[in-house]
Amino acid sequence: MNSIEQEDENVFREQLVALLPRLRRFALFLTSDMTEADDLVQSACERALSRRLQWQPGSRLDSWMFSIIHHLMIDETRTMRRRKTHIPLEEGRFIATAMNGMKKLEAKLRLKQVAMAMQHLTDNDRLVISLVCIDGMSYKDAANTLQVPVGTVMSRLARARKKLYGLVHQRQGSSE
Amino acid sequence: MGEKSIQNVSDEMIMAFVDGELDAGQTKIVEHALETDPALQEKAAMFAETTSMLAGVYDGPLQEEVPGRLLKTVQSYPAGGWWQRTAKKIRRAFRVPVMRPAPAFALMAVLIIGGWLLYSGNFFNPSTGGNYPAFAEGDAFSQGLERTPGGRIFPVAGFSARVSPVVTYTDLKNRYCRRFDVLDQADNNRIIGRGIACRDQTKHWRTIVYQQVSEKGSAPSARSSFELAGSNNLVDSVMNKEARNLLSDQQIQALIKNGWIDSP
Repeated sequence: MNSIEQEDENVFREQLVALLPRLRRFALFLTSDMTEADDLVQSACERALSRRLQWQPGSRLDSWMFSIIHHLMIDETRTMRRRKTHIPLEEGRFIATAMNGMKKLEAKLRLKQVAMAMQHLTDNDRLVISLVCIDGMSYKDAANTLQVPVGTVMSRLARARKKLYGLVHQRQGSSE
Repeated sequence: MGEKSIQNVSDEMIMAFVDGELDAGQTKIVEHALETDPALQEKAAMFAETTSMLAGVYDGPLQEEVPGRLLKTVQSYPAGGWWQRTAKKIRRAFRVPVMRPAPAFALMAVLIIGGWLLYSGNFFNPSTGGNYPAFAEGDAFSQGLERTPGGRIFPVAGFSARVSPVVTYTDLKNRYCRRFDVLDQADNNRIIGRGIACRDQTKHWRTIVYQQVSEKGSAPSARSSFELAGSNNLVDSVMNKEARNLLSDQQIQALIKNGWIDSP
């Protein structure tokens, strides 16, 4: 390997390290379990490194990595022949900011409601919500990541958000 | 901005408005619709709430330290091997796009099978080997094979060579074929080439394979002292692969007498 290739590889690894927190969040959203999420991210990193030259410099590395995680998730689901139905047990680690008292209680309640509602969405709905509402991707970038038209992203997203909203408020109503 | 514009505002447009994905023109349409339609306002609020309810819920991994095993993987897992670098250089040189495994495999299979068919002469009948003799497609050569029994020699007018049919057979394509030796004009014991010619529907004998023979040793006297140039027995291997039935001397005599009219 010449020095330019070595430098390219080093830059690639640095970019991947910087992406790890977002990749873990994305995988956590898909798996609802931090250990499984980390396993998924690790497999995705190994695959990305072994196929590093397939990635075109200048294109979005995050989209490529999300796409790899997505495909690994599909493969795993096919292999395991099961769908994750559990919700996060360690609730505290999903709440970003330090909270106390009533606020913390509300946040825990919201987490539980959202997490349970998410179980009722399809994989495609969860995926598009994850990319746009959680990772903040534009519709266009989400479409590139999922390799579908922007219109498909919009229709899936609108449907998923309406469903999520309905499920969360339905639970709120029943718990009140 | 009339009633028609308001009716055209879909759920996707409201959502895109909330997410800041609309251009200026579309934004104005939605803003106007929202001012006058409470139902649309509720929808906009609903989409906004779904974003806010998810905000921060899954942000834990952004705040905590990345596990060491992930860092170790990214920093030390071996990157793509030399074959990938070589493949990329080739792709760049020939401007070949990255192919998915299935089409790449299919293309490779087509190339391999195509190459084999070309080599075996199933698509074309190229002469194989070096220095394909000019007479081997001529009328004198064709007439010689048409009329000469096995083991006999016939001259080819205008060329300093003679030809001797050695084996006659029918091949897998239902043709008469003759394996022949090309002998030196001055020394009938000296083989200078070997080949196979097959009779086509125009009653013409066309050479499908030919190979020169190089001399082995200084002054051989027997034909067996010579060997084929390049890969040994290329002509014989083609014959062994393509021959269906070897014909006897009597059968050959009969065919010559009857003008090879019988279909093999």
